[in-house]
Amino acid sequence: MQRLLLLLLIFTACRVQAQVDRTTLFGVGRASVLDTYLTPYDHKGPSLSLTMLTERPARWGRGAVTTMGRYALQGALATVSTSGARYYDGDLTLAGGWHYNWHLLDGRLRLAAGGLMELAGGGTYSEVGGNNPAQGRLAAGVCGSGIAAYDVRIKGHLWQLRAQLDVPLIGATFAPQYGQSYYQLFHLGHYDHNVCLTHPFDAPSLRLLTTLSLPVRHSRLVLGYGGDVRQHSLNGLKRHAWYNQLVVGFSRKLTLVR
Amino acid sequence: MKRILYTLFIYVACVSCITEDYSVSSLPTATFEALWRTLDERYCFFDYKELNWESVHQEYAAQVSDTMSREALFDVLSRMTYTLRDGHVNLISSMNVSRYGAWYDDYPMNYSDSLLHQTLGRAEDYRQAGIMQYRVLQPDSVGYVRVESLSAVPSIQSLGDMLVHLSQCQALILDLRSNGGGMLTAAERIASSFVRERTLVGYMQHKRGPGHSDFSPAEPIYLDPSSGVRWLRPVVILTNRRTYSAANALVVYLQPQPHVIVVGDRTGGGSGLPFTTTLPNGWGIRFSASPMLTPAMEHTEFGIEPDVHCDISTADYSRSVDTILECARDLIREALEAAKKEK
Repeated sequence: MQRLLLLLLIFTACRVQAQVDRTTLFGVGRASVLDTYLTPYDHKGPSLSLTMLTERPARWGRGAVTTMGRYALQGALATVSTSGARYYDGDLTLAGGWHYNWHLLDGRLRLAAGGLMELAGGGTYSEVGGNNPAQGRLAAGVCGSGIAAYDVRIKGHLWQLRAQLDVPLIGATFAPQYGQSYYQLFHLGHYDHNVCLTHPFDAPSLRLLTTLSLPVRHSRLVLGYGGDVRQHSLNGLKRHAWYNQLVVGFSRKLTLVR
Repeated sequence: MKRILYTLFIYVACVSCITEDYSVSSLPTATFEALWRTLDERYCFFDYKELNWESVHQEYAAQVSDTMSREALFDVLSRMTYTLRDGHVNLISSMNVSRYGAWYDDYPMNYSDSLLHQTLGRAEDYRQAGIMQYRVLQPDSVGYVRVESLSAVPSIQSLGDMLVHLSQCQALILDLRSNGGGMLTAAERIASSFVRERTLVGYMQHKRGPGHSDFSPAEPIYLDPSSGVRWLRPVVILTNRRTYSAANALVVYLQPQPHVIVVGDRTGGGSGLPFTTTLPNGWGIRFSASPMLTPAMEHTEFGIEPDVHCDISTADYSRSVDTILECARDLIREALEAAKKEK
């Protein structure tokens, strides 16, 4: 039995070990939502989100490249202050990509730059829309992404300050024309430039996540701020969804044996 | 480097925030301006109706002040929307919904519940399937289908069952009088039972921007024949001034068919697909946003002239005679007799 365990230990030691960071964050905050297809007024209200981040070394790149997955679900119940007209707004975002990493200051500072492929879908429902009560969204694109993470040791414990900024650079998104109904689009099939090229000049957007993580038992408690700015001005229609949230969650470092 | 930073600064300052400059004040003057601007940018029939919207602004802005009551504001704004002469324009509040009704109020009703009851009979005398009520009229064995509203899409099965039941008849009367419309898909589904082949039934446009003439090219609308039962025998459609919106579209779809004839009064029109949005004080505004055109690229916003014009006179009402229905039955009788003679 001892021999078997020894063999298993040697086998495990010979395999490549990969550190995987998994972070789950719950966000609470405020959102501002404008969609001129529905109404020309800014709706504001409480918002919630669930974000999951996974980061691990890539199988290639000699240890300098990491793979990242970012999955976020967010929603808001927003109203116009003067009328009480309500929007229900929500988005699901799936993103994945790679970062090249530089380790500085004896490994305490990690800087990373890379890109993420992002797919986002969602919708906004207006309670008083009548003939056009909702607006759907579907977008795909490439984000430029940067990460800065700084490890600091306080009273023997390792704390980490981390910031990640993702900026959509180019993509494609669905957008109806200024006065085009969904009946025309989907029932009659009257296409009118409804898939639009997006770039920072017609869809300036960003996702910012800054966190402080500190060790709590076998996990790490993560506290921070999450900002999600999604905007576009396409086909004569304007939209923005600004989410500002306080995030709290936990992070675990797992060791995977390949 | 300075130039790059300057460009970046200009980009961040000018492009980064996408907002709209509508006022969110709920004061009467702000509400008035929001309503006027919303219609100015999004209403679709200004050019067709040759309406000077600027002069409407001048006329009605003078009647609005921030000290006026909600009721008074609603009254002024409602009257302003009536200048559009459009039954699809409604100002919606918790106390009232404005509606322009001159397109039917100024004309004969040409319909009554008593006459309908006389035609359909007691509840057990006719069949009802969704939005359709139907029976065989005697003694001439004419199929009669009453469609009161297009609020739901009838299934192919129920349309087929109805047409099979009426297949003993040589002709059918489709009564769309006082049908205020509903879903265009319901109109399409019904119309598809009366066409032989894929047919161009009209065109549709939408606005591409806030200008009064900012329209997309007219895109064709085709109607495919039903995959179920189809009726290709003579059809007489009955219309009055309250045949509106999607019911008006149903008439547009079917009137060009060679076996269809329209009898009654001019339809009410309503050929703009409506949109709804809100005002800063919480009221809603519905308006025509996308015009539908006939296959000849003509508007039917103000209705469709029937092939045979007919009204119900006061004397006919008092004698409980549905003149329009009787006119349709006469036309069917004459057509069938003419067909017999030809044979």
